[in-house]
Amino acid sequence: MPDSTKRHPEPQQRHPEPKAKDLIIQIGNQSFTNPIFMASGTFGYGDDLTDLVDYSKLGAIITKGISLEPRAGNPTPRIIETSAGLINSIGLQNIGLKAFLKDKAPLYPKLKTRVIANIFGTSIEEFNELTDAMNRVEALAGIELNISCPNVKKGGVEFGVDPKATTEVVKNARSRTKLPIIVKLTPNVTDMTIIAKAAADEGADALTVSNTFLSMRIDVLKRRPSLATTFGGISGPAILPIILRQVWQVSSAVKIPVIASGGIMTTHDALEYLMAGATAIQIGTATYINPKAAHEILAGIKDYLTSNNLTLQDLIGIAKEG
Amino acid sequence: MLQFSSLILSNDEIAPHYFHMVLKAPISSYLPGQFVMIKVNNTNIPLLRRAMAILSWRDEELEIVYKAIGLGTKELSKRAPGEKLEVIGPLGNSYEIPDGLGHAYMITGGVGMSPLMPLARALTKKRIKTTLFFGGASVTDLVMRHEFSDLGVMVIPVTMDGSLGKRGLVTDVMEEGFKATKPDPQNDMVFTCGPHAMMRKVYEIAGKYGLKTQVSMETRMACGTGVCLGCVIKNKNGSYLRACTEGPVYYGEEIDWNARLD
Repeated sequence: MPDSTKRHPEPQQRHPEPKAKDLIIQIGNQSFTNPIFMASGTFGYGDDLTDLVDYSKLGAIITKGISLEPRAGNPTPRIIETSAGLINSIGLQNIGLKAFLKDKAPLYPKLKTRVIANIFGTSIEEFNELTDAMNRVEALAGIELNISCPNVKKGGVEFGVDPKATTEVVKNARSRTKLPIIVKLTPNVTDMTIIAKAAADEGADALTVSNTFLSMRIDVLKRRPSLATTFGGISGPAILPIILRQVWQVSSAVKIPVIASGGIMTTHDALEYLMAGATAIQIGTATYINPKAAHEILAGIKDYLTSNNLTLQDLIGIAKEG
Repeated sequence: MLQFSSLILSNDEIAPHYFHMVLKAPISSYLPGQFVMIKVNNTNIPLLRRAMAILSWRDEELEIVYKAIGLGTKELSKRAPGEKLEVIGPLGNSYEIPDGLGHAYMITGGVGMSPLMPLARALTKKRIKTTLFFGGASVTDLVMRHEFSDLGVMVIPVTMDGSLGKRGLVTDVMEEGFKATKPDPQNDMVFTCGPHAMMRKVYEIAGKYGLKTQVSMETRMACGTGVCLGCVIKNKNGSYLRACTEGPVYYGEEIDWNARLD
């Protein structure tokens, strides 16, 4: 056999090194190996799904919302399924700061991924106390300020719908921590960019767009609301087009990274959000249906970038160009 | 807990609206009362998996029985042998068989029989005397009653229309039975799975005779793996425990029976 390569020398490879290799993203002073985070409230405290999920493939886990005191959560029933969506009214059932620091935080240095603590307060003072405590947690990669839970009755100020209150809570947190501050916004406002700018102006490092939409269903047989609390927050593929629009708008209005969270089930969904301007994405409801969704989406994004010879940075906001 | 893709070996209607499904499943160990989460199709409607009690799981074959009444179960009834389903399991805790158990009284209605089948198998294997009060609207609701008999369980059928056994409510027949036989509060125990109202009544009757009751709770469930906190059952002390993780089997006295479930 003649050596064919001699007669037809291999054409010089146009792309000797696929660009997609590098999926690292930076939020504040911390970097993450990939842009796929597990959304708060859908992955416990990071120690529930160890049987099914390869943590080394997750960019970060965001904990269940943590409050100063333990919370029992809302009465039952707390969930109702709807077409391509899930309405929940969990009411921030959580073990409280003390148990978190004692039982969960010590696990984090050994996890194969990074952990971001989602914190929830009903006053500036509570947010401050939680922020101070999180500063002392070893290996913590950031704080997500939950100013947007739709399922908790007003304890004081409803921070997330009020730009001034948002300013206050972010300003206080910023003055107390060097950890990345991510602010989780509510979609239940007329113009999310106003709140987004207020958070960015006070030094937030990133914004999560967004929490769930207030919604409800009625049990026609029983002639009453399907949820004990009447209203809950809807998540899942049903809300994707609306959150996508908001990610587009918010990422155009602020310079800090936007983390998209809204009904991402597939690689295709994740790509849409990145193209709309998101720097990272959160997988939430999809984990309930497929605990390996995050793995599959990560592999899909890698494939897409490689086959299109793009970097992650190239992809972010690419749909806005031209 | 495993997540796997599972081949459907059969999916047969064994009585009107009741289906018996056999799936190829790569594991062989589970406990009576545990369940699996099954994605009934590969679309977003319905979005969530459905929780199904394990009827049997041996020689890598998983069996379930379900009643096709809602969106998810009707969709499941359309699946054909040769198709694949996504399954997670086994999940949850299990019925406990205490040492020295004297007589096991099982009470069920309709498709609630499903988790009681592996329990009956475990009880009869240990040669524990087992009675099943099996209720339903009609004879066709008393599915797989012969399988219970074949295990050596004393089956007492009860139907609303009188088409088999005594006519009336299974809980009334249970109470008559207890009145006549006087169960032993020290050694006997009650095990139940079925409609919420039936289980509550079973718990009350058992309590009158000093018997403890183990109940398998049915509730709306999203993840089945402990992370969503959607399926919680309210306890007497006001706390909420996950049916998928701390349950689905509870002792009747743990539960706040006045809490709304659906």
